[in-house]
Amino acid sequence: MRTSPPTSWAARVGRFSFRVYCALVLLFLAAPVVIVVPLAFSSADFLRFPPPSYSLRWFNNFFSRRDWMEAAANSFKIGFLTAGLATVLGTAAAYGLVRGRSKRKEALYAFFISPMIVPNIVFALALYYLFSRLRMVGNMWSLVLGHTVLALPPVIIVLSASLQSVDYALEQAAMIHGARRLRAFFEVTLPLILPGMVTAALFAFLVSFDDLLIALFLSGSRAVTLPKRMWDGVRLEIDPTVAAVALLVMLLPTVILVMAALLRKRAMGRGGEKATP
Amino acid sequence: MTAPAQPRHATGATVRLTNIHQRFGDVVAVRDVNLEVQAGEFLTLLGPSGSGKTTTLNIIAGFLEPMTGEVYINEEPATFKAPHLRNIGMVFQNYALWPHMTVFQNVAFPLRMRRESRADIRKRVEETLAMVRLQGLETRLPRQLSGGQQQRVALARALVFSPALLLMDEPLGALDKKLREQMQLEIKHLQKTLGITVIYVTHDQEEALFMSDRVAVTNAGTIVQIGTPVDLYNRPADRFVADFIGESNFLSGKVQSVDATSSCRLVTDGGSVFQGMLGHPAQPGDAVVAAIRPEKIRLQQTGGPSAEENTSQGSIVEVIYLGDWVKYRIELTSGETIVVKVPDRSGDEVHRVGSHALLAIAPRDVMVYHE
Repeated sequence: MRTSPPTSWAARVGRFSFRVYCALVLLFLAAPVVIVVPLAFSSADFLRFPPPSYSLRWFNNFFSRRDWMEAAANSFKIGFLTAGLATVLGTAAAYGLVRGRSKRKEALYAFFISPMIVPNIVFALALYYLFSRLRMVGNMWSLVLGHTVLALPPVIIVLSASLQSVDYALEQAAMIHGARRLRAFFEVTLPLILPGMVTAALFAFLVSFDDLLIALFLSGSRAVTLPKRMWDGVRLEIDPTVAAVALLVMLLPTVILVMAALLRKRAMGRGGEKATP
Repeated sequence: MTAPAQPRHATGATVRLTNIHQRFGDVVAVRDVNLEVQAGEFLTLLGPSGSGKTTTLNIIAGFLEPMTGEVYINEEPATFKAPHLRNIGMVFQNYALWPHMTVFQNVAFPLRMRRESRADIRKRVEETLAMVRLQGLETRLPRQLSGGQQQRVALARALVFSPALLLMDEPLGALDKKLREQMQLEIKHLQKTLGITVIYVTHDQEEALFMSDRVAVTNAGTIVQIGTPVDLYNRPADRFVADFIGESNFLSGKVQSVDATSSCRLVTDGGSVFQGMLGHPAQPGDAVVAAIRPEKIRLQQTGGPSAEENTSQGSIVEVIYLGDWVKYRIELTSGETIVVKVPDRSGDEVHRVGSHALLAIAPRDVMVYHE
């Protein structure tokens, strides 16, 4: 024990209960995720906790079944297309919002961010009506377009911040010294906001990769994504493949976020170093 | 489109602004500005912040289209011409060097945009870097340079394609005093040897007087006076200019009489009588203010002033020693205080607080303006 002033009994109880409270919060947050791990390695034929013994058979099942593999391929394709589309559109929108002199900038910004406010179920229903009229339900592009709208708010937020940190004088300097506006953007602005664009693209990919609701309405039978296939798995098969996939699907965003963090760190590290001529 | 290649030592461009008006929301930034800049001239827009000088520069650069009025560069209409077609070099307030490009890439950019050959680019970048005394730093990034070096890179980038017009927006504001004075000399020297027209923006009146062929003083969006540094200092057009450029004592009073040669007699509120020169037409009885430069006042001890000089008496209340100058704050017998600046020559006695002072001021050094 230290010789510092004796802590009162009440203070000690207070500190103890605070720690218990923190532990409970962490447990509450982590428990569902942690339970998936043993389930994924279950050897049982059904989802059962705790599993009787452990095996890799459900991972094997996932990788050997065509329907699961197709769903994974769809999810990646849709995710990459969404990331690309949302980043290109989002960059253009953010550029206009940050550099433009319009008086309606604030209103436009609110409009672009609005998909965050509209309940996804409402949005999914609306998309369903639209795309069923266009006979596009079950078409991969309907999912790409839907996911792009959902991905735009975070993309625009990230890129607006990126663009705000690039002094407009840098672009003006390019323009006065001979570059037309578009050239100035590609020569000067784009290289400087590139880390922001990569981050934005990762977010967009995750929005798409994560989505079930829109997929439920728009997947049909030909554009089934991984979350949709898992949903079907839980409802129709209840074998532990779902848990195995859940574990894999959980790892991917973790890897992506760690990558993004490392990228940012490297970019900052490069900013500080002194190179020799 | 590429701008036509310029001869190596192009002569400066002329710039003409007619009736330029610019408003941002409810704020009038530039009000009816007319300005003619001669080829090869060094013209400074001098004014406090918010006086419209940077807006005017941005209109010349093409970053802003004026709401009314026209811009002519070399007598060609340029009001709506895109910046990249104007063939203007520009040095920005915080240099605006591209952080992801090396010194070489920064300086080569204007040539690259003009589709010059690789060999030409290399040669001209080297020449220009030598001109601003920056050889050997080609592969550095801007953040690896000192403020002074960054300033030189910005200057090299703006000059490498031999533009006929160079715009500079408070380019020395971020440098310390010594470096600033050195750069002022170098820029002035470069401008004269290249024969380029320079439009320079600053709020530093000393810098403006030192560097410029002519200075345009801006206030609240208008050009209040334009002239050579000597004109501006000795014949300020109004009270604002007299106050903004150099130091002045201001004594308010009333006009007593006016004669044909625009010299007048005024009585200050404290009762002192001065013979002075009217800056604007005025009638006897008008409320006016007399502006007197501290260094134009002579401090006398022996020997009377010449007959036509104004004289005044008082006692010294404060002595500020500045090394090359001594400043005295003197309370006149009328109760008004006045600052006098006297060069500190060796052998001269420095007066003490409390001692009696006799002042002599030539009538042409008393400028009289409306209140």
